[in-house]
Amino acid sequence: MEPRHWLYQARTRRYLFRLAGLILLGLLLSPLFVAMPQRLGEVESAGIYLLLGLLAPMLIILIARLLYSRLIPPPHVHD
Amino acid sequence: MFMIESLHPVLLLLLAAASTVWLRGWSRTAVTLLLASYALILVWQMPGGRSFEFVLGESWLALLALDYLARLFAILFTLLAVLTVLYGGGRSTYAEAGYGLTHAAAAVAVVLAGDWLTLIFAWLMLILTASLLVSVQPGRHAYAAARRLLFLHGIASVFLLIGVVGQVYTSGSVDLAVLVSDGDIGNWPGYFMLLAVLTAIAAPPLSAWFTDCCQELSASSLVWFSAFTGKAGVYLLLRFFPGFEWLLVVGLLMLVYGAVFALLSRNIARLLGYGFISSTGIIVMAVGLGNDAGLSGAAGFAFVHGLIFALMFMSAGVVMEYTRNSQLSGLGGLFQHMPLTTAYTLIAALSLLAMPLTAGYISQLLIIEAAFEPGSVWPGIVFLLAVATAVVHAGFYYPWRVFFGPARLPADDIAEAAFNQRVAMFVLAALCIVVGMAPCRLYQSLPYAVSCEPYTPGFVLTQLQLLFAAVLAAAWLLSYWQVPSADPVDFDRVYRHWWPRQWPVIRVRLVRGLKICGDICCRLLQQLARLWRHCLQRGRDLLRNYRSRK
Repeated sequence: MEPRHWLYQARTRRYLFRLAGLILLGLLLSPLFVAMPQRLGEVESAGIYLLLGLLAPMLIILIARLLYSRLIPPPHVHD
Repeated sequence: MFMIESLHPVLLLLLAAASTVWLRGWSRTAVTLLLASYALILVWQMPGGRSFEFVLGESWLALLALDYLARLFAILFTLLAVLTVLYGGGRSTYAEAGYGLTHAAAAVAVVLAGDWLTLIFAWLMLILTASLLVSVQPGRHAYAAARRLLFLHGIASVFLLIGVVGQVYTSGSVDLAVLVSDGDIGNWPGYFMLLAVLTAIAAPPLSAWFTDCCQELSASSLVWFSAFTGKAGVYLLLRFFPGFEWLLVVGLLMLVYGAVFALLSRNIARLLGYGFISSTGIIVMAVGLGNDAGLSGAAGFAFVHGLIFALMFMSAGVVMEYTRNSQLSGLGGLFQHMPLTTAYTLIAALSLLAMPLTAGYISQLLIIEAAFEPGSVWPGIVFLLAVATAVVHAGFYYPWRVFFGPARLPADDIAEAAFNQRVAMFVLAALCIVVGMAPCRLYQSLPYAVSCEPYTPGFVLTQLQLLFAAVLAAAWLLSYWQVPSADPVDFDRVYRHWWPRQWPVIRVRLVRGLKICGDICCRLLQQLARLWRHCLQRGRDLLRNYRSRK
């Protein structure tokens, strides 16, 4: 049977849903984090830090997941 | 003062290396520790400027030229030499200790070199000792890895040599000089040198040698190997290529490549090797920024990065030595058996993640501030993402996977690190915290003046947010992550698999081509000889006719 394109595979979909979920969570939580530094008078928009913190590992894990089958040789191939 | 000015620190490290031939056990550790510590004091207290100068032809060569940048790296290298000697103790073989100390001496010689000739000589010594350090490990795989390292760095060193000769020829001086002006490399030798430096810092696609060798090394050799070559490359970048704009791209590539391949690794030494490359990418990008704050941040983080990864590799060495296992899939729950090693690893991990009150925070904050400086927010955002990326390798994934989670090994076989190893790791962990709590000392040692106040509520809170969010996302997503069953295909595929497979075909074609060329040449020569004979005969006939007519 022909393997499905990676874009349509269940694991890709699952990771994309998690990505979207985390971004949503970040957006929901960011006002809480913006308020405190603003009160302290130091930073104007701090919610971006939360989003960036969420995004960085997610992007790397997503890239690694997509490259997994291409970069990991099958078990019978030895050096 | 007499002693300080008349002794070269490299000489002391070489003496320490030579002593390993005759001494054994703890006497060897004591003597080498003493000599390396004295080298550290020398570097710390030596007055700046050029010394140990002599004339060669019409040029003055300087074996020692000390400024802020050289002193910072020399202190780092001698400090790591002291701690690695302590860490290895009586466990490391005399060859490991000897080659390791010579490797450290070569790295110190590179940063203290005051002219191109001394630099190239020290660099060749650095590469040679790195390959010897790998080749003395047991097993044919280590020998093969050392051969590949020597091959790749041999080519890179030839490029460095061509660059140095070109630079000396075009500038007419052996004195070291910055090779970048207005964000670009001014002359062709600079590009040759850059290629060698990029190989040393393991920038892809010239990167696979580093992780290839890491997985073949023993506990103490791993620290010797990882601490010096890459950092010496970073020093050369800071010295000769500050502000070269393409370094931003190279750094970003290193960051993503290292992080992705760290996740795809199953061996802990390989994982940390890729993590090392990934976080070196931050330093390379900071060098590419080119402003004073960025260069100071790059130098500061290079120093701190050296401390953090020395501690990380020491922890990995302890894990491999006491569990006799280096595969991620077989490790887990080690905090019960190795509480101190776990604590030290966590300090290194938090420092890498730029947790406030650690050395990583005060140095990476400088880089982030420098990235936001020019006015555009995008470089700053990229650097913030880069800092958070560390969670997928040494910052979170490695300690979480190895020291926490379900135990996968029988408890009887595992013990805490030896006393000397614990002391070495404790010193590094303490430095990570002390430098972080008192940033002034590090800031005063940086090449450019720094006006950064790291402990303001805004900085601390935003950094905590970044850290919290990154760890949250990593903990969630990595819990579903399956450790691969094999090591990933890297760029070394080209010279490890593709080239050996293609070589027989290429050789046949090459032989056939040479044979055809030979045949063509033979036929050409035959035709030429025939023509020559014909011309000779014709000349004789003409001469005979001329004479008979006369």
